[in-house]
Amino acid sequence: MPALLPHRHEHCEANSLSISCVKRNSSSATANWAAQDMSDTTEAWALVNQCPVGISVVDNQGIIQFANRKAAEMLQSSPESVIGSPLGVPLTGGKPVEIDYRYTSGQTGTAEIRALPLRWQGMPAHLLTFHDVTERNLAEQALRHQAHHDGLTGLPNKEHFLRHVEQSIVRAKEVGSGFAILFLDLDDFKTINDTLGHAAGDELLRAIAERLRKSVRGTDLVSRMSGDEFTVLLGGINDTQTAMKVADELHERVFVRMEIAGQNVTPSGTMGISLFPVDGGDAESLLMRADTAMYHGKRSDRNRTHAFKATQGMAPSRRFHLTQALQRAQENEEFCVFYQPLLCVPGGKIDECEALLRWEDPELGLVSPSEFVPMLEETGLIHNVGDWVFREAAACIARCDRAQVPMRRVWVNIAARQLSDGEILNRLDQVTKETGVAPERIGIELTETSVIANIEQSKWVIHRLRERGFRVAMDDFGTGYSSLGLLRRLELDRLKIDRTFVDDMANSRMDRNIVRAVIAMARSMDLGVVAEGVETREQLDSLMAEECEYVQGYLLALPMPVEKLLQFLRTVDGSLLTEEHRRQ
Amino acid sequence: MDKYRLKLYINGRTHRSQAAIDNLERLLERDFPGQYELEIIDVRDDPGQAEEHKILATPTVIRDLPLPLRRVLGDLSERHEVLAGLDLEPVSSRDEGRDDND
Repeated sequence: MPALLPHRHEHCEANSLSISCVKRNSSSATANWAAQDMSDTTEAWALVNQCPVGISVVDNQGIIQFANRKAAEMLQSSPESVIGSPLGVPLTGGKPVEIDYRYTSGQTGTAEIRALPLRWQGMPAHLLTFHDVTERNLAEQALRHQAHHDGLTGLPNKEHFLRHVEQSIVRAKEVGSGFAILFLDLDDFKTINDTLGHAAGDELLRAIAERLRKSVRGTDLVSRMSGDEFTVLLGGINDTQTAMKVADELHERVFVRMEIAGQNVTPSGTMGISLFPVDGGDAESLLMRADTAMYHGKRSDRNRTHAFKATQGMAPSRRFHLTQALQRAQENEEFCVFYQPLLCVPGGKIDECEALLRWEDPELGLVSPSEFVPMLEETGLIHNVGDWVFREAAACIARCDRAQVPMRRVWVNIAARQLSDGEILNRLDQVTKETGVAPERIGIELTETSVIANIEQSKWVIHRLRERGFRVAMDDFGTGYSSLGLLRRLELDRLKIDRTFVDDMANSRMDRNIVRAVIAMARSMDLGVVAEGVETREQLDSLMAEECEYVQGYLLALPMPVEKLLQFLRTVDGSLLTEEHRRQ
Repeated sequence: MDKYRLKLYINGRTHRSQAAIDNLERLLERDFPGQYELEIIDVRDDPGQAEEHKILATPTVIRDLPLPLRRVLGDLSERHEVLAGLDLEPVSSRDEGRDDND
């Protein structure tokens, strides 16, 4: 007989207890035990005892009168001693209620209990069931944690932070105190990424997060907003002077030398501060104002802390707005791709173009790619947006084919972040597979700086791209630090001479010589050459004189939507352009 | 009449613990202002007290005084259940009772 069975008192009115005959009176929700013959009893006891759900009976004083093995285990009692122990009268209000318990092993757990009134040995009592929900709660907690924390640093994310600020506002109002919001943006983080690679950038972010976390009190909260932006809520601060003092101390502790990717790096950051309640009454406003203070500080005095001043305006900083807006832009289809034709000078033909990403925010208007592309990279949105651009380019080729206008190749730019992992190859494979466009008809443009940031990785990606048939060009050539040796190793198809050299060709002998040298060098290495930013007839004449292979620029055509491109290609008819064409 | 003396045992500062604290404090402030002493004991901080009072699960409330001792377990969200389980008599009921007896 299992030890957990209730003692068989002589006066026990139900001489047997059988799980098979538990009845519940539906009208009173009262369970009653009914008698069964003794032959069923032993099996029923075993069943109750082995049930993975804890089952217990407590009397009206809260004393345990019965517990199966699971219930005894959950109540940290040995099977022998649980009966007669005080648990308490269960108050559940007729609904499941969670309680904490401690296993005999010393571990704690959570159980969902349900209680029903019952008569036990002639007295009113409570039937209790215990469902162990420890694992379920832990899994839910893990999911909640994941939803509210940043995967890279483990810090609370923006959503979590804003909620915490709202709660702090409620508490601060109750006790009449204030608090400070600190907005921190690392200085020159992009340089770290570009020179040491994204893995080093991530390492730096983790190290900064850890230093921030260790430097604040337990009641303060550090979070990562996005990219290289962090925020801190400093509780119990009522004036700017104290906030600045605390922020300066934090700055001193965080921005000291560290080793990243085997290099000694001294990070720096600019911080902005806003105060509740003087600078705002809600979380979004406080955050925006701390961001605004930081943003103004970045332009005037970096690597310091700046308090928000009303003169800085009430509007959110452009950067803050941009980050917010970019998150929604793809969903709202605010991105579009424009195509700028390339003219092949020797044959006078136009059968290639460059795909250029454009973004028009409903409030900010047309935003420059030089402003939003780095933010797409920082937020990681670049991968999805990049995929979309590939698909648009493939769709453009298909439309040209259907319209029977010549389009040999569309060139697409990829950012440093896309180049940093081999995923770009799988993503392009997927696009060519889905759209049926031959890889030979897609050209990939990489900037010189992004290639130099990680030469070996770039070399490997370029090799694999060309293996698949894609063409590869180095964009903005002449602005970085690539050597001839590097160019030879990279297996490129083309160089694009940076527009800054083209701009002054007509007036500057030096620039004209540079363009001439690049063209000659490219030719000797069997590389094609494109001159971009061609805006005047003089520039075009000079480039033609130097036998530049391709030209691209406003003189030829502005970037245009695909519909206009089709119309344009139908009318140009392979000849050099008239003034009329240029204006389209 | 002597004050009610109550002890609420919780396990850490979790949402569940906080809900039990809020529920009980709200009830006591509403029905027994100035007539109770409530001690909140976190079993993680003071396992000795939990051991001494044989706390098997939390949240548990023990009414120490007046005797006899009463003990309940749950989230304390249902006022009438808490009143009945801890055998607490609100002032208004007691006054009514006295009036009746008078």
